[in-house]
Amino acid sequence: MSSPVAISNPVTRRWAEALYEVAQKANAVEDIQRDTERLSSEVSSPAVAAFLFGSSVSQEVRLSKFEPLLNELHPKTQSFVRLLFERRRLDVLTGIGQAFKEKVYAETGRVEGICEVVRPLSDEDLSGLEESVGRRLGKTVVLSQRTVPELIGGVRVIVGARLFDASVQGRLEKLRERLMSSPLPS
Amino acid sequence: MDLRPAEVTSILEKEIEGFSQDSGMQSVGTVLSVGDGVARVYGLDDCVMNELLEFGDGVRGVALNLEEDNVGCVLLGSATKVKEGQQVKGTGRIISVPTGPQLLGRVVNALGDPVDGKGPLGTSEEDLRPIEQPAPSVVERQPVDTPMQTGIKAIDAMIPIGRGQRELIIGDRQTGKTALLIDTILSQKTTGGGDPENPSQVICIYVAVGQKQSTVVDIVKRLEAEGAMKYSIVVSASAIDEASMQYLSCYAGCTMGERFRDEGRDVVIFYDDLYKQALAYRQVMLLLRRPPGREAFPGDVFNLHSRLLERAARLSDEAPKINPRYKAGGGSLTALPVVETQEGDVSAYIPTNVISITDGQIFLEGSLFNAGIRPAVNAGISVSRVGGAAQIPPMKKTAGSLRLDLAQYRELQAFAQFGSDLDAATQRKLTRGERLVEILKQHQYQPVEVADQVMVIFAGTSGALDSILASDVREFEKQYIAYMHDTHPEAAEAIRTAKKDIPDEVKAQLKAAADVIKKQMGA
Repeated sequence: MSSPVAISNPVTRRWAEALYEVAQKANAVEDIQRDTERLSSEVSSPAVAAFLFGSSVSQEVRLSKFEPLLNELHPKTQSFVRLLFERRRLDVLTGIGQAFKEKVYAETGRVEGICEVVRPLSDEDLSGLEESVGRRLGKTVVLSQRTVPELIGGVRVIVGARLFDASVQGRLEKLRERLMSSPLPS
Repeated sequence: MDLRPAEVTSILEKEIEGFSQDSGMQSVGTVLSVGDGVARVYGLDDCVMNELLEFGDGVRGVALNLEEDNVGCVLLGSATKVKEGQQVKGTGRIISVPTGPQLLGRVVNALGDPVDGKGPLGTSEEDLRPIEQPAPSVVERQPVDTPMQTGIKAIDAMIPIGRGQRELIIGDRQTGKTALLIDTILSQKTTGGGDPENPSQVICIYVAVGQKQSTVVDIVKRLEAEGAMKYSIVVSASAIDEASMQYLSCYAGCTMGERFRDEGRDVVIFYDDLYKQALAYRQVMLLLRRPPGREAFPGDVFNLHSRLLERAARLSDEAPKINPRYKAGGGSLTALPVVETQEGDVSAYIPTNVISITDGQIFLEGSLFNAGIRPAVNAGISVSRVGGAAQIPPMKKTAGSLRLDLAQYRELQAFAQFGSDLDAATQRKLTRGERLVEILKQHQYQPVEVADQVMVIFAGTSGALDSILASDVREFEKQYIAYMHDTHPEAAEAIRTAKKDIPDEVKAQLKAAADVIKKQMGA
């Protein structure tokens, strides 16, 4: 079952925070964010993951295979990956893209969210929704869409640990609860 | 239940009209792991301690561990309905139960949901109260001074309980602990004629923790048959319920009682039993990975019981002026917790904890029970630390020497087994003791009204019974009480309202009655 909220590991989060500080000092937040996202997507393929996280190959060989990719990255990202190799924390690479993005978003007052709909919304509607939800949260909200036919109608927006339910399904649910708990005339 | 379609439509109409269009903001999280009745949830950013969570499908949970990146919660319902990755909604309210007079006569679970098949309770949103409440402060209380009659001679005479007191009932299994509670509930009928509307009627709340469901059914049936259910609430968290429900049920019951207490009523609550509650709490806390202490109980198991029992109180008449939470002053909540011991070991962890919290304890002993002394109260080691002030004066005067006489009797009894040559004084003490033990025996479900108790104990302590056989004492008691009711119906009231001792003319009547009955019985 896919979860509506992305869960980042606390260890990865700490590494991402440190990397963000470094990136900010080097004035290269955008470059490094691109790098981390690239790293995470590279690592996500099963073949690469087996090679990197398996124990059949020595640390040096693994690093050497990584060199060509590393050379294309920002110098700070390079040192980050080398440090991960040294500390044997390679698993951090899987989630670093998401964690770094979250950190950047948090710093800039932006949050990601999911908008569940029955039919895809037009870009105009979506940005209107982003704005109204953002106003209630006091943040800039970036929504991505997902089609959930069970909603019957309306929208349901999930931003972090908040849920705005304006779907027909949610209302029917609420009505059901109220009807079940209202006393019967005797 | 018979329903007409038109009625259903009208309810629907009303509900739909009042239905708000607001799509409120909710706090949500995702289930990370679930098992053994606990779940870990990611998200729920602004979750508070003890918040009620909705897992969907009617399963609810309580947040108990707020950690850096997850919330540990216990499930109140079937864990098999909860899946990993499932959405969890925060309700934004501390776990609460419905309270109020609508609950009287009902059987509810730890969340206040009815389980007796009699339909919804009909309570409103305003009747919900959080199950964890602070206990009344020092200034909001007043000393215990009104008796809480249990209807059991041995207790009312020697270990008196006052309204607002906490008296522990402790003993092994099968020693009559629950029977004692049921008798106490039945006895409360005398306070207000069994009418819950009557302000002087004592409200009874029975919390069954980890009991067999058959036992709970038996109790409810018995209370219904005796007309005692009208002024009682049964909170049932039986052995089949989740451990979380079992440990929360005591607080739920207490909250229901507090509502009446805060409105100026007198309430008595029975926790049957706190040992099982501690076991349930231990289970939940170990699953939540809280560090175990002695006997693997968590470190706060003492506080678990002390904060519950502290909520028993006699409120001061001025309480509403101090704290607007109290609608009327002078109410009380008496707590009678039960602790089951294993093999009579009262020095085990939980029993010693609860003994130190309560204002006294009633020991029930298996050996006495088996010797036919029922209720099997061991008067020697049972105490009531505050109840003495709460006895009616004639009882205090009459029963004053009872404890001492019985203690001397037990001492001599041990001696008397060795030799047959006993002096007259010793013989007399033995005879007296034997008869006193006899008058303190009582049948189950037959509570005795306090004035009748005074009459019987007066007959015992004044020596009127010394000349009849010990085996005839109970027959004598029956006829003697009946005779007094017939010939001097005003005597009972005179005893109840007496300021000091039994009035002299009543004493004379009692003596005469004893002589008449003794003659009738051919002694």
